[in-house]
Amino acid sequence: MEIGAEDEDRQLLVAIAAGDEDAFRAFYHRYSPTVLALSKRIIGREHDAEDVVADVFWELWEKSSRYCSSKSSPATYLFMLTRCRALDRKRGISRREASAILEWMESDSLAAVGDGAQPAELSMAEENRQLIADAVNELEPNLRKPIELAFFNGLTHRDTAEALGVPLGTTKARIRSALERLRHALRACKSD
Amino acid sequence: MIDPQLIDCVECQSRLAEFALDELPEQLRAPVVAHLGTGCVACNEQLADLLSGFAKLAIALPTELPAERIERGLLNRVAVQKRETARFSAVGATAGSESRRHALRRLLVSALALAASVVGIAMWSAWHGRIGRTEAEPRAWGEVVRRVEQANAAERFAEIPQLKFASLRQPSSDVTGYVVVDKLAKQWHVYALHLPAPATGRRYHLWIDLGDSRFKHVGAAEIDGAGTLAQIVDVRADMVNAQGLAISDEADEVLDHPTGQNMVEAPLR
Repeated sequence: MEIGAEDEDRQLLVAIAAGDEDAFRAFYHRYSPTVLALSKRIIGREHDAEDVVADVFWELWEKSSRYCSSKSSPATYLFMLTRCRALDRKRGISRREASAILEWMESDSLAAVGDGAQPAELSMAEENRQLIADAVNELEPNLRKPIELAFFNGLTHRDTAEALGVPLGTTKARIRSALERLRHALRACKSD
Repeated sequence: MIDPQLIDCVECQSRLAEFALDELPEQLRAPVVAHLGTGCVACNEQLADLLSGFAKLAIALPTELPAERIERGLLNRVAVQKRETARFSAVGATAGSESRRHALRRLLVSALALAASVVGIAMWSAWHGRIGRTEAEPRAWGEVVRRVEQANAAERFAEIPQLKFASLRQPSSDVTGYVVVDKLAKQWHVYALHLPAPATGRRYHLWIDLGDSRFKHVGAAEIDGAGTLAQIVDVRADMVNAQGLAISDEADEVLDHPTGQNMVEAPLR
């Protein structure tokens, strides 16, 4: 998968919002493999995952102007949108559910927050992608399992705790630790 | 209800991971949104960090190229939309690509709303007229719906090629309703009344009839206790030429075609 520079991604989204078909095609080529992989991981069925890919990119084509660059990178927004739509489909929800986090990511009300403090980004080069994959794969099972259940299976922290048979507080702490480890991995990528 | 102002950074940050995953209950979510809305840099940055961390889980997955037909379908859909937008612009629509897209959409939605209102009023009138009705009255009720459908098809939908209108029918039953097909938005608006209660362990599902005995299951139908259905179905690009819609009660295991005893169909003419 080719992960592009973030500025380039932002320019593509601006162009898509203006109706640029070439930009849409470029963004699709760049990210559709990951969107498909994420959908398949969440739903588990190839055909439904392909439907989600089509739905997500069509939604992006129609609503890319909603993307708020001060909140997240284009890739982060795209993957959270994918997760939301894939979980909707997995849960058998044909009508799009309101998503608080997507609403937050699309809201421009806090543009000032970005002054001098850009959100953490996924503007990594292709060679760093493997480092991130390694960081995820190297998480100890007791850290990796909770975060995967929460992210891919859509379990609440409480449900995750029950599924793993550990206290809620421990589950939250492990998810936080896992995210912290991944954050360090990104820093390592950037400093390379 | 917790006062949003009572949430400090520590409390807010303890909820951010669940907020990022859309798993925070409303009563806990509202204070978080309010706190973030104050412009708290530390909490907003932490949320952005969390989202970035979750996104890395996606990046770490092994990838494969999607089937070519998906891209082809999307690009066809884009081309159709652009063509329709251009056609609309040619008759004096507003300028600007974003507003052009939305202007046509507004026209279609207005037409839909007008048509739905007329049909809705007729259905409401007929529904209330059912109180104390005689055996002969279901036919009159059906006639009301048919007349409204004909009127709408003739006077409004016929002038808008992106919209199609179809009746839901089940012989010898009270079930009635209609489907409005919005080709531009790739959505079907499905309305039905008096669906019989499904047997224990079964529930209604929606199917798109693709012709040649092929069906596409689009999901469970959301029906209230009175057997009323009002649902919007998102339709994929390769299903715009579908032959009709079916509502069918199914057991837990849904097959690749409807099998229920209570099946209602809306053939698209």
